[in-house]
Amino acid sequence: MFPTLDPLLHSELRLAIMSLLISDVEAEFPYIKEQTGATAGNLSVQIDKLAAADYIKVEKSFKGKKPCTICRITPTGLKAFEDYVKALKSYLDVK
Amino acid sequence: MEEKNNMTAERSLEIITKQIEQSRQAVAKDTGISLYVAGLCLIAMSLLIGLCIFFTNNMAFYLLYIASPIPIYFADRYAKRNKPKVPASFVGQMVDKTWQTFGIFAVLFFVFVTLYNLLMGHTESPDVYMRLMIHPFRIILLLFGMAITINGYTLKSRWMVWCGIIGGIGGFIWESFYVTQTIVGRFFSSYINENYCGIVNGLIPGIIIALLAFIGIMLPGMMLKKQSL
Repeated sequence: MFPTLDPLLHSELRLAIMSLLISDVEAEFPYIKEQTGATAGNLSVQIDKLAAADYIKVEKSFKGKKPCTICRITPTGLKAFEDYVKALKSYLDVK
Repeated sequence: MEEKNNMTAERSLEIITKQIEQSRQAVAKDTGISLYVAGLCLIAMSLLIGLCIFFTNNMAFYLLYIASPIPIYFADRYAKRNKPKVPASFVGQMVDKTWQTFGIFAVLFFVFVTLYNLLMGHTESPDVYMRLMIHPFRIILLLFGMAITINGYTLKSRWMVWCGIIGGIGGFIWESFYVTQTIVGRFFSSYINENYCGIVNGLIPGIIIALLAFIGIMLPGMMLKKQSL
């Protein structure tokens, strides 16, 4: 019996965002946009979905006059990511 | 990257690996740029300070080293203009903290020694002063070597570790046995010759610091930049 893969993480862009935050702990929106190659609109929607599930925390502030959005991974997100990788491993082990 | 939910396990793993590796490279490149710029600034400053002391024989120019973080900060900002802020990696933070620690120890030690030498120079007779006087350069070279060695371990670069050990210990021994003074003294008949003082107190220390800054800061920066390509 295979464990189910978290549907929230089983999406290319959301998985890429989480992988990025796993290694960097926190990152600014333009950096995530550059690294994932996603459009600002799409990225914003996916970040909102992850934030709604409490996988990441979004902090909005200002750097001078420019808006600055910082994303941080939460312990819930970290646990979900670990479970997702464990589930992936079980799929790959069988093959 | 598009929104796709029908991925295979292999594709998921590929995304995770790719993203982590891509992020590691971006962070390494960012740290590399910072180190490269800092090394370049320090080389320029040490040579400039060395030349200023050589031409004026005024040791007060050494105090300019305290201001070295200012040009480094602005040059770093200029090098990274129009680029999104890259998060700090563990390796990058370790390298930064090592140089920060070196900076704190070197500056505080230098300030203490300057004040101590000033006090002793005013209160003691010249004979006693010559014995009590502390030469800060050898200890700063030792600290410099230590910082390079620690960074060599952090960046897993064996040649950097050895450069740090040889540079630090070698520089300490070099300065402790007054090798510079002995060599330069052979070319100038008098120790109070202006050129002798300028070379010993200005040019040679400037060149040594520039060399160590090149090996310890600029080269690791170039290595990190190259690794990330």
